[in-house]
Amino acid sequence: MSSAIQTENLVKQFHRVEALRGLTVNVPPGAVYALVGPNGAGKTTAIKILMNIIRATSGRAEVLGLDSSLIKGRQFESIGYMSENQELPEWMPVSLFLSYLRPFYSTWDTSLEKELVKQFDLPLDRKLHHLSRGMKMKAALAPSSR
Amino acid sequence: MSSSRTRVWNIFRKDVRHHWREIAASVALVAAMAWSDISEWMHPDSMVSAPFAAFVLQLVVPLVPISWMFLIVRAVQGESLVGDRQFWVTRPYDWRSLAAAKIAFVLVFVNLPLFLADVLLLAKAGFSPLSYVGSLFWLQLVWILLLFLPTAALATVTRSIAQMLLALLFIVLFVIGMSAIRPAIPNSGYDSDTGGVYFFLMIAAAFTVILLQYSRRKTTQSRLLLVGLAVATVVVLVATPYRTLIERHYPLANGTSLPLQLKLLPPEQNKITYAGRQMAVHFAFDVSGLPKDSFVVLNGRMLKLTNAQGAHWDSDWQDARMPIYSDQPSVNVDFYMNKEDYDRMKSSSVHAHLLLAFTRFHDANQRTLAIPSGEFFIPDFGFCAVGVSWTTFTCRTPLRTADVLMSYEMAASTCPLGKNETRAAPGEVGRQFLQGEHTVEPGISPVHVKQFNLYDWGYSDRANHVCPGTPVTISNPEEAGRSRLELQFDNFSLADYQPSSGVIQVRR
Repeated sequence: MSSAIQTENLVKQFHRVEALRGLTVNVPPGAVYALVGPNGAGKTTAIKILMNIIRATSGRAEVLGLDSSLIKGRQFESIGYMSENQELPEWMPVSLFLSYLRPFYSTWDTSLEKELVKQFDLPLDRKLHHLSRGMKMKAALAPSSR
Repeated sequence: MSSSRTRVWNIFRKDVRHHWREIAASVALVAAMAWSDISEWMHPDSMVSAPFAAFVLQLVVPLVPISWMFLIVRAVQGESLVGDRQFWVTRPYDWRSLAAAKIAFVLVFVNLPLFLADVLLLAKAGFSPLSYVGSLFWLQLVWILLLFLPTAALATVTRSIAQMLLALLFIVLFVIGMSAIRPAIPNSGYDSDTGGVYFFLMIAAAFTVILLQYSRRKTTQSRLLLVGLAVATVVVLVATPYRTLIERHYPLANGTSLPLQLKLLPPEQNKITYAGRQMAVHFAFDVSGLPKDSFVVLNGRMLKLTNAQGAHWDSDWQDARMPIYSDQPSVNVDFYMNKEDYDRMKSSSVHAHLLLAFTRFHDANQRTLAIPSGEFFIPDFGFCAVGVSWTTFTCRTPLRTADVLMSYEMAASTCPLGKNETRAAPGEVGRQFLQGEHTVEPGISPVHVKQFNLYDWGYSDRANHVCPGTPVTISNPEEAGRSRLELQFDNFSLADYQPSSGVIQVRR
């Protein structure tokens, strides 16, 4: 695997609206990249294609050497993804949210979990519903950072 | 435990923790339904003496399926399949594990309580649950196919309870619309075999939607599929050749297969009466040719009139469900005509074509017993007891029952004569035929309460009651075939039917 993320001429069209025009990007393993652009540039669309949430109209996208349209289920054990408008199970306390997600991952790092909870100052007994937007993001980020 | 089993168990445990209140309410309602049913058989008087409590318990019955639907919707929408913002979409969820967890949830918290309640009810009603295990599982399957699967399908294409209610509102409006157009479609009101087609379409669509949503989350396609189901249902309603199906179901009787002979009685016994804006046409027939150990049930009837000018009137096939017994001297067959149609057809003589659809029954396993006081058991049927009014038997029956014909010689009644009553003459028979349940009918309770009403309404001044000691004949009729009888009558002149004080005397 030479790239963690690789796209070639990625295009997404919603009816007559072109949301993404010919994106070609190569993110090597271990690198940290930020996708920056004005509103409507297609950042979210590109990430949704990479996460197989939506399909590209044309072009090619690979994540960890796998065609992004094939990413599902177990492949997400190796991918951490969170977005600002993600719908969380708001009825769950933070501790339950973490313990619920734990069995889904075969390589869950409990010490990292504890470290992140401490670092993010997450109130374990509070329901997600009662957290501020920022704290919710942190709660969603914690299980995405194994 | 394998990782997929771990995931299923993990989602299942989460759903139990999230929905424990709904689970508790649903299980409590099933328990209340069982208790209500048992009270109704064991202490029928208490239901009469405490009408408010009886009313509250009656409310429980419709609430049980509503609670099941609510529970299923909540469980499915717990991991909504509509939209792409759910956190679990980008987690190591496998759609098979997710679907399996939801199926397990429904089986454990909807099917299992119902199954246990059914076992308890059968045992309390005096029937061995072991004898009805197959039927109990069949009943579970019927509930799954008729309610749980369609409810789950709707839940997969809606995001919230509000959207689900909106979808149900559309379905109610659709059903009302279908009911409104049904009378305009000739013969569609008659019980033909199209129910199976609707059932198959619904199951196929619901199953496909659930599969499509869980495996690919294609909400638009799934919703379009449900719209397609509605369109297909309308097409089936409109395009079904009802008349052909009915006539194929009831082949024309010939010389050897004639179920009985009917002779139109003299015209003065025929009459046309006003029934609101409609004219009720009564055909009276002399009945003969039925073997002593046989009877028929008139399932359907149709009348076609043609006048000399070629104008037609057609009643379409209509339900009848009227038993005709071998010792019965006559039978009435009624039709209703609009006043406008009557006026149109009365100008000249009319050719009448009467079609009658019969099911023939051969009486079998006939036995006579003197009614005991208290409860008694009828094999292949259930536990029965004479009602307070002495005219009815109230019986508790299990999921499947045989056909039962109960009759008695009214003259042999052991009841004391009431005021203004005389003893019936020999030969006068009170009876009722109850068709059994050969397949398991969908119902919450596996124990049904049925009533035999042996009162003969034609003899209101006779002592025609059943009391302990009255000999009653019970038999298990067996279906011997179906056939159609067609009778033609010429030279009816509707114009001669002159109204007189609301009753029109017939002259031919």
